[in-house]
Formats: sequence, C-alpha cells, structure tokens
Amino acid sequence: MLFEIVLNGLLLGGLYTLMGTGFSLQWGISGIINLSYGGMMVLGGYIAFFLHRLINIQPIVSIIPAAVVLFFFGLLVYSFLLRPTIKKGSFFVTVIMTFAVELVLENFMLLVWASDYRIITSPYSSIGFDIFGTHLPFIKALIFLMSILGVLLVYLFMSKTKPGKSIQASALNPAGARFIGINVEKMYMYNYGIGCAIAAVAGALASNINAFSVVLAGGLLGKVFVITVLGGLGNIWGAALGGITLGLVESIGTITVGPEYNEALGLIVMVIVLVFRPRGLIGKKFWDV
Amino acid sequence: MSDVLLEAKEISVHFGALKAVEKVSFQIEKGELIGFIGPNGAGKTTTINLITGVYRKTNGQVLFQGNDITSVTPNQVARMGIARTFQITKPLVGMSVEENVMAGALFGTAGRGLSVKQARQKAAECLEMTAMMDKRDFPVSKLTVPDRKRLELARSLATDPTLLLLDEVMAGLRPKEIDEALELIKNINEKMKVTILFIEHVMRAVMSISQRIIVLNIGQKIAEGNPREISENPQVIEAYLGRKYMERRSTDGE
Amino acid sequence: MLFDAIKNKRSNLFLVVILAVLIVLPWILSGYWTRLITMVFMFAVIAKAIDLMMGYLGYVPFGNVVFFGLGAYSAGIGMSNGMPFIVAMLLGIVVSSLVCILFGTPVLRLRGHYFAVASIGLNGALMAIALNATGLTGGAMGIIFPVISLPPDMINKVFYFAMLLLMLLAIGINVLIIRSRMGFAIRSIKSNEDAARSLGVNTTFYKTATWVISASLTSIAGAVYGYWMSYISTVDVFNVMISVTSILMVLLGGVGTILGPILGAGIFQVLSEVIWSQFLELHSGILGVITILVILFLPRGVLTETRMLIRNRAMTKKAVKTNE
Repeated sequence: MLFEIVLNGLLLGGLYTLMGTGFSLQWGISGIINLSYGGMMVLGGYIAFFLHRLINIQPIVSIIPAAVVLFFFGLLVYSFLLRPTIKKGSFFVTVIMTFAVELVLENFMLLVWASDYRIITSPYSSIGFDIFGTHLPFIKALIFLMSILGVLLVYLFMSKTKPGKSIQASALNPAGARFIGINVEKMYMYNYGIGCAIAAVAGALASNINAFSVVLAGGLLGKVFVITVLGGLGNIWGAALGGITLGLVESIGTITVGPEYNEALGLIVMVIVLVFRPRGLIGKKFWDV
Repeated sequence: MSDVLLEAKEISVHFGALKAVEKVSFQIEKGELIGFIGPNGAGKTTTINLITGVYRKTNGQVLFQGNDITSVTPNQVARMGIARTFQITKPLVGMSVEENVMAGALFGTAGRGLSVKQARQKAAECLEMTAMMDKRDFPVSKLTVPDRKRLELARSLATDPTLLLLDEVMAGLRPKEIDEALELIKNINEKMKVTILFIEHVMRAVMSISQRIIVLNIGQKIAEGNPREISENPQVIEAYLGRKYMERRSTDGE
Repeated sequence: MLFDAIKNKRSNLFLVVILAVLIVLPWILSGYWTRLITMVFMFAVIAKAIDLMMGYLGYVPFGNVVFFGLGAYSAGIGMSNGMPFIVAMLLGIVVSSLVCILFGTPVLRLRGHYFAVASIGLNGALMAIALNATGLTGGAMGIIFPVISLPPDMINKVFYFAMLLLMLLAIGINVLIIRSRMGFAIRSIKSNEDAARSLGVNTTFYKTATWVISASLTSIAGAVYGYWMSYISTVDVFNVMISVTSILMVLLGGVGTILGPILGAGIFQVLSEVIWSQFLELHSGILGVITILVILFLPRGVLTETRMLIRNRAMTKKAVKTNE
C-alpha cells in the first residue's frame, strides 16, 4: 500500500517537475508569471490528440509538433503583447496581460473543440506490469521517463549550450550580458517560447493518462503555482522538489480522502509553506527575481 | 555619565565566505563629527547597514545610548534617532520634494504626535536649511544630482535624529558644491547638535571638518585618530596607494 | 496629483448633482436597470478596495475575492444562527481582518510576486475549506439567507441604496487615507520601501493595515450581496474571476485615482451586459481582447489618459498662444 502511494507519487512527480520547470523558467528568467500556462498545456494536449487522431502519429511523437507550435506561439505573444507591456513598466499589468491571453485562448479552444473531455488512447495504454503487488501501467512509466528526459534536456540546454547560457546570463546580469553582445531582449523572448513549449509537452504527455478539457486549465495553473512555491523560484531542482512533493501529496490524498480534494490539498499546503517558508522548501534562489 | 552615543563592539558581517566587516570596534561620543574612510570595498557601507538594522546577523554588538540595537529593525532604529543617507540616493519617486521631507518628519523620532500640517512646517525648516525651498513642489524626477543629495539630507534631518550617518554625500559634486555641503554638515553638527559619522572619498572634505577619523581596509579597522595623524599613518597610506608606493617613499628617505 | 475631483467648487457642485441623480434613479428606471447599477456600485467597492492595494501600495491582490466570500459566508452563517444582519456583517469583517493579519504579516514581507500568487492560493484554499466544512457552511449546497418580507420593488431599492452607501463609504475612506499620515506611509512604501523604512515607517504594519481595510470593504460587499441574493454558494462568492475582473476595472478606469475604479466598474458592467446578451459564446474572448487593448493603448486607464489628453491639449494651446 505504501509502495503504491510512493510509486504513484513519484510517477506523478516527474510530470509535475516538467510542468514546474517551464513555468519557473518564465517567472524566474523572463520575470513573467504566466497565467496562460494552464491553457497552453491544454492546447498542447489538444494538438497532440488531434494529430494522433487525424494523421495517426504515435502519441509520443505528436508531442514534437505541439511543442513547436507553442514555442512559436510563445514568441509571438511575447513580442507583440508582453514586451510592450513590460516596457510600460508595471510587472502586474504584464501578469494581467497573460491572463487576457488565457481568456482568449480558452474561448478559442471552447469554440473549436467544446468542453468535452478527451484522452489519448493508444496501443500501449493498456499494457502494464506488476511490481511488488502493484499494477504499474506502462504508459505512466513511459511518461515519467519522458518527463525526466525533458527536464534533463532543459537543464543541459540551459547550462551547457551557448544559447542556454546566454539566456541565463541575461537573467543574472542584463547589463553585463548586453555588454558582451547578447541580445537580452531576444533571450527573454526565446526563454518565454521555451517555457510555452515545455507547457505543451507536459500537456501532451498528460493527455495520454488523464482526460483533459479546457475546463481544467485553471486547475492546472493552480497546480503549477503550488509546485513553484513549494520548490522555490527559478530553479530546476526546486521544480523537482515541488513537483515530487505535490505528486506525493496528491497520491496520499487520492488514497486517503479521495481525488476531489487534491486541488484543495495542494493549495492548502502551498499557503502553509508560504506562511512559514516563503522562499520555498529549498529556500535558495538560483535566479534572483 | 558616559558621553558615548554609539558603540560598535567587535562587529563582523560575513556573506558566506566573504568577510565584509571583521571584528571592528569603535566609539562615537555625543556631538562628534567623525570621518569614516577606506578604499572601495573596505566595509564602510556594510557597517552603516549593520548599525541601521539593514543587516542584523552578526557577531559582536552595536550599542546606542547604552542599548543593544544589534537586531533592531531599520524602522525602529530610525525611530530611536539614527538617520542615514544612501550612497545611491533613494528619493521617494512619485512624491514631491516637500512630500519626501514630510515623510521624514511624520515617521521620525517625533513623528507620532505630528499632524500633517505640522509635518509640512517641519519640512519647510529642513528645506530652508538645505536651500531646497524653491524646489519644494518639484517631482523627484526633475532633480539634479546635488539636489537629490540635498533632498536626502533634508529628509533625514526631518526625522530629528540624534545620530546622522552619511554615505558619500559628496560623490558627484563639483568643488563649489562640496564647499556648500561642508558648510551644511558643520552647521548640522554645531548648531543642531547632531552627531555625525560620514563616509567620504573626497579627502579634503574629510580632512577639513572631521574631528576624528576612523579608517577601514578590507573589513578591518586599521587606524583611528585626528586628521593629521591619519594623513601620516603609513598603513593608511599603504591601503590607499599600495605597498609599492610605501616602499618607494621609504627608499626616497622621507 | 491625487486629489481628483474634490479640489474646486465647480467639481464639487458637479458631484452633488451626480449624487442627486443617483438618488433619484431607482424611481425612474426599471428593476432591471436598478439591479444593474446596484451591481456597478458593488463592483466599484470591490475595485476600490483592490485599488487601495494596487494603486497606492503597489501590491496586487489577485485573490481578494476571498474576503468577499468570507463576508458572504459569515453573514449567512451568522444570520442562520439568529444574528441580525449588521452583527453578522461585522462578524465577516472580523474574520476577514484576522485572515489578513494572520497571512499578511509573513506574506506581505515578501515581494509583490509572491503576494499575488499567495492571495490566489489563499482564496482557493479557503474556498475548498468552505466547500468541505459541510456542517458549518452547507458545503456544495450553499447557504440560504432569511427571506426579506418586502415587495421586490422595495428590495431592489433597499439594496441599491445599501450598495450606494457602501460605495460612498469606500470613497470617504479613500480620501481620508490619502490625506492622512497613513497615506504618506503607503505612498512612501510604494515609492521606495527601503527608504521608507530608513525614515521610520513600519512597513509591515502599514501594508497589513491597508490590506485589512481593503479586506473589510470587500467583506461588507460580500455580506450585502449574500443578503441581496438570498442564496450563496462557494462557486459564486469565492470565484477568482470576481477579483480579476475588478483588477481589470481598476486598470480600465485608472489606477490610483479616486473615481477611476468606479468609472471602470461602470464601463465594464455595461460592456459586459452588452456582450453577454449578444455574444454569449465569445464572452471571455472579448473580455480578453478588451483587456489587451486597454493595456496596450490606455495603460493608465480611461480617467488618467483623458486627463493627460486634456492637459496636453491645454499646454499646446498655451504654447501656440505665447508664440503668437
């Protein structure tokens, strides 16, 4: 029983870590609390779902177009809507702008796809294997691995590649970065796009195991808040800690009080952490906001 | 009856492995006008931040009028009578010059009983003293650098301080403006009876009005004395001009 | 800069006239319009309460609706237990203030980002608690308020004036604060918190106090709303859209001004009614587009932008005149 809880928590935690990474990158580096993150995840799910349906691509492969579409969508949103708003000064107005984007996005998705729940089913949806008396669906393990792979790729990109390091430099020391020739504005833009792409990937992955619909966007945003606050800002290890913690909390919650309480539980834990340890459980910030 | 107003006892401020201030001790007596010098990065601003409660984690103690204020918060420190200016001025943007100074009056040591009207009168006095009266309705964004410094000074005076800590108030001023600033500081010390500790890099300013000078280098106090003694102190000279200069001086047979 | 229309005699007369018109309106308009305007007054209060934090302190409480919910539920639970409305409403204020003090002190100490997220979390958490504490709150079933035995026409009028009074109270509090010591404290915190602290401003106290006032006003609005509707449930009164749209109203009308949030509430409600009736399925999308347009082209809100426009025109006229 305990093993099942922990296992489920960890598997969920992987996906949550990926979710948290994207959001955290946008907040920590581009300085934007992206209230349209939930909507973007759902959009990623829809794109993956329909590609799978229409062209019969392997669901896992369909993640790639979803990520690409949302990457460019993010670039556009940043260039035309967010950058001018940031220039005007207020941080909060930028956040409200992302909320406006979410409103438009949700309405669009409602019109096109209605609010029915979808879920991707595929040949490997029903395979599973038993470990220690618990049934482990293959798809969950696969998604966990892909999430971890995704986070690893992001980490490697950010710390080992030139564009990644340029982005980090732009966040840590914009003046210095500009001085050595980095186009800081462009870096913030690409970073935002990457964050959106990660959201799409997380959404597309999640659509394989969870039924999704536009209606869930708000709840997803709530979850990603919890993950980010629990783990601390702008820090991949923080996203991991936050993600796994939330995964475990929800896993425990599902078994003990029932899955309907999960959202509330997550939020309550978040508020408690905010009151006693506002910088998150890690308490360190790698990128200062 | 001790005349010691402020006492620093073996204070240290560490940021991780960086020892910004290391076991510094000194005393300041009522009514003194003390210069606080040292090369860049010596730990002078850090010391002021510690005294005013911006940093509160430290070994050692800071005593003000006999009371331990080491872990007192900045707004409480201000209430107790210690005012400060900032190296890079921090005017209250969005408020006029007059409103800036009124803020000082309303929340300083005597602030509690003051009405907004009385605060305005107090602000007027401080603005007169710093020659900013004609600019009192200016938005802060319109001020020149010397005016910002004057505003910062007027604002801290409005809090009715017992001890005033100035952080490089003369940086960026032209010679005539420096002379005016020196006059003002002397007035504040002598006529308003405010004890002053001022950080400065402009040597002639420090030398001309300080009664006593404290010198820091790399976080440690290396000298203390009157201006003459300090200007002849070999360690001070070495700190500013480097060892090579010192060696050259001694081989030149001075 | 902040004393809008209260300054000269001509503006004062203008305001008195408007007030007189507002008082007379319920007898002229239909029930539908009376209720609509009552809603405008209510949102004006919520928006003003948010503007206290947003425009003057610089912190944006996305989750301020939590106090609306707390006020509504306190009133409901109180009245279900025999309290008269006023007492139940006061109970709501006490509960909201306690929440502010409990959470404000740790969370307001941080930067605005955390506060914004924390307030949303707070709302969600309290909504969930309200939903699940079925013994106290009726859970998903909600709470029914005692019925008011008056004809519907009278009820419309009573609540119209209740909300109008509340709005006037909000304006009064706003004016009082700006001119007072507290106003200086709040403005200096928004300008430069470090400097404010170095002058002796107890920033934590003032931030919390501002939030308490903001929360109390919102709480009263919630209590009156509950009594008006006779029925509340968690989804209605803890709905984060209420505070988010109120933030939009503040932006629309003009942040940091006395009349701005009211203007914003008015424009917004009218727009909303029009869109709802014509384009139901596009409602949130159009809302989003309007927000985007306002932020990009009217960033300081209708009131402030209009004022700047008038001022600029006056200045160019003056410049042209002096050149002649």
